[in-house]
Amino acid sequence: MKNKTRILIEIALSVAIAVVLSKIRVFKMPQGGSITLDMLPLAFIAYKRGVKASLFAGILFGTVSLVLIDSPIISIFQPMLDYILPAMAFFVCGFAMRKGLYVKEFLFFIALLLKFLCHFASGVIYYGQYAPEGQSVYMYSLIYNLSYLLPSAVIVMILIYFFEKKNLFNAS
Amino acid sequence: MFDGIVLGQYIPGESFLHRLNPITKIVFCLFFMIVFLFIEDIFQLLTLFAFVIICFFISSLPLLHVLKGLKTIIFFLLITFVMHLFFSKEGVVLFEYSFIVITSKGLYNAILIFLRIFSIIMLNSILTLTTMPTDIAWAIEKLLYPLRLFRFPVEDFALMLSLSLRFIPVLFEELNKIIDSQRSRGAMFDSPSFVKKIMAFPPILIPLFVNSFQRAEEIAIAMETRCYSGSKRTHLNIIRPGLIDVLFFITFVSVALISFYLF
Repeated sequence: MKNKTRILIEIALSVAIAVVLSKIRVFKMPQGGSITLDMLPLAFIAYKRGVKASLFAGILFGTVSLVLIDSPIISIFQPMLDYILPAMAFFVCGFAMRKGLYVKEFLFFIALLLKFLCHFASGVIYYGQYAPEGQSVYMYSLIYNLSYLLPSAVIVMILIYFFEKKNLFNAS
Repeated sequence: MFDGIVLGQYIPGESFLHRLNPITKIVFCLFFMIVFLFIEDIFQLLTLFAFVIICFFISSLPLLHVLKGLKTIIFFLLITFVMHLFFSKEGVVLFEYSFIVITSKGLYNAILIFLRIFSIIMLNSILTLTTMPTDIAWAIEKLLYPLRLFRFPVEDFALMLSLSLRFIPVLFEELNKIIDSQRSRGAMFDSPSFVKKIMAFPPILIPLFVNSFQRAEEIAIAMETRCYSGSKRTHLNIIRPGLIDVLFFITFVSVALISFYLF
């Protein structure tokens, strides 16, 4: 059996899991952001199949969330920064393929920083362009994005520990 | 916590916009979005806004659904409106009461920005409410074909896109089954304690991942036995552009041009 077909389908299925998990709210935050676990499948495919597969998974997840969109688009390149690039950030996790738990957690943290930067930039550039001059959008974007990213990341990092303990990332 | 999943927002219908080719609709949305973002004149904006409203009435969609799309952004919309209204200091003063000053420039900008965001959201709603997600995916696949020049594997991507859209409901059902079976073994998912809530996840997620990766292998074998090679894909239902697509295309380009030259 060619391995390529299998990897393609694994990517497609992990993206499907990510979409399912993104629709399930673990906790609801007061300002509208909600804590979901959609980062886990994206990190999972990266740990399992490496950088290239996770880049595809990122583009695919972004596209699927755009197709099934439930939040409004307000600018042309905003979907790029809000959906596709943050999901692609998990390619960093691909470098932890077949490495130890600490490397995985550390690279997940780096990926999270990249994802945060995308959302932060989107907040500043696109929502900022509608604000009048002189209003600070930096602080608002920072607090809003951290308020849901950090708790989700903590939960996902705990789950990565459990997955690693069950040796799921290395099983063929 | 695990109740219901809504995929896409498609409302079945028989209107003109429902029958339009999805590629035409996506191009129309992108084109109008760009135009809306660059217009600075309120009359041009109003002309195009009227066109979007006409499109909305043609589509015979319930107004409530479109307004629902606004729900997530209504707060942001109101804040920008109020800030532009009260914090601009240029132009003629229209209204003054103690610290509240409304200037003509402020009012102008507030209405402009309100209309701009409102029309863009309206456009997106019209697209997602009249087009099935699978049709949007099909159109995206077709629009991505030029990327083959940069050696982006469009065929593989199209396969993954349709596969994952197909498997979202399946996996959701599977997740519910796993939750039920863990519940029947006495698992608690609605505990108010934070730690207990997190500890409830591994027994759900680990079977989900293991099952789906097993399923991936099975699908791969099934596809290989049917000689899948990843080259040219064919479709069961082919959507061809018709006369209405050409007409619609001509209409929206001419409306945009008219609004530019009239004002």
